Amino acid sequence: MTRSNRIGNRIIIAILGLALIAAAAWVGNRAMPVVDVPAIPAPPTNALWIAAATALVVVVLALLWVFTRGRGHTRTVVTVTDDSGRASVDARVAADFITEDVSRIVDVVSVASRAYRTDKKTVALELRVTTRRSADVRLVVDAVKRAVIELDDVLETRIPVLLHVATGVRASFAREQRVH
Amino acid sequence: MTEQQLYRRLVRRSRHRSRSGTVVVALVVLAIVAIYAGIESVLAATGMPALLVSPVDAIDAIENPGTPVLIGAAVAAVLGIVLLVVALSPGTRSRHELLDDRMAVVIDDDVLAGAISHATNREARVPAERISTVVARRRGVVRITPTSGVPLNTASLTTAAEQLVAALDPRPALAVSVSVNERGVVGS
Amino acid sequence: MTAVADGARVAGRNAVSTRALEKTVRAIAAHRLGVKADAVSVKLTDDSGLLAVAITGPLRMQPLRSEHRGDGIMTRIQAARVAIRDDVTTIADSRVGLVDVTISSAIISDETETRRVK
Repeated sequence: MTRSNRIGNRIIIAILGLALIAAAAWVGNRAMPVVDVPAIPAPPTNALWIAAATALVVVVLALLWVFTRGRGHTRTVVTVTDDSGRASVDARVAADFITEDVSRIVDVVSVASRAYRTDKKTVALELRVTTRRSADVRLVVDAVKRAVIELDDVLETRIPVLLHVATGVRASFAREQRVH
Repeated sequence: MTEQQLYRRLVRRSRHRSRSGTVVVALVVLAIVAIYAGIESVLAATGMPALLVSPVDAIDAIENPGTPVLIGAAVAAVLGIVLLVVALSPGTRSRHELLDDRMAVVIDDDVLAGAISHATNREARVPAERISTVVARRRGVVRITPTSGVPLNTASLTTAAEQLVAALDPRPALAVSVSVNERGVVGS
Repeated sequence: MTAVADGARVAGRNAVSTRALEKTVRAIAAHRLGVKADAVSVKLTDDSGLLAVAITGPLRMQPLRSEHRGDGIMTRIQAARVAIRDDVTTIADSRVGLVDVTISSAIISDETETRRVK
């Protein structure tokens, strides 16, 4: 999620909120007149077609924003190109490795992983780990760190990793693995 | 961007809610309403009967509002205010950062509180329901209800809590204190 | 046409359909990556007269904490690319140009690489 996306989200929500308040104010004004505003006339056919077209545009824009939520093409994490061709590794590979290992750590209840693009050149991996109530958090974090260091070795490159030690409550994102 | 800067950014990003959830729900609702309005407009423009409410009737209902419309308007106003609040509030997540040289690590305050409770209770040994910790941005408070007849040494409990916090070293730094309830509970 | 004696030339052409070639290359790639053929996708194109092969699929790898972990992933991919090139040249009887391999996911398994025949 880019910074501008986040600001954009808030702007859109604010606009919708203001629109609702404005509509409510209009109706309120009709019931208890405060401001003198002319009545909306019955719409001629032209206006109806324009309204329909506007509605279509709104739908398209709304759905466009919703579907650009995908955090950009998160794909290649390493690429090596030479005369004979190219070798690429997708972020999913890193996720698969680390998820498999971390889910074996004793106090870990579940692991979920997600890869996203932080800037043009870097893909980061987010790990959401849920631990048992009685877990030793320090040990779990250290064990995850060891796994990440092993991953660096296997991948032959270092990927930025965000570890989120979470409560068990929320809905999970894809590829969650539940252990014991 | 250096690795350090990147890690700062990753942590900062997880500090605040992105509001994507709300936006998606709001826009989907908007799309549905717009589709419906579009359909009614086209039906009216082609002289066909309305699906539910024709544009003319809708405008009439707004211009001469009866009770149902007024109630609807009130609901809309409340919703609008809620949305504004959501748009403007910072949406900070209650989390702390744990320092590490390889990864960016964030921990939910709930989990942190649980860990502090657990570490403190290794000393206090009361049933789990009688110890609870609340973690705020810079302070953590452990509350314990002792067993009647079994006094607790607040100092050693505080040390236990502080040791756990020191081992994790959260940011912003957490000052932790233990408060033992004056009244105990009989039996354990 | 009437039957012809052994050794005599038979009229006709060897026409290898693209589909058949793709299937062959997929099988080769799957073998070298240690995974099932249906998990691999292959795109064949022309590279100035040579056959350019682009492969996307999973790679069978040892778990992170395995004792006999072996080579890193890039080394494994390089080895697979070389082997795939050789196999395609021999088995499919094609001159091979660029070979691109993209590993889309990892099949984590402790077995040492077994040959999957399917």
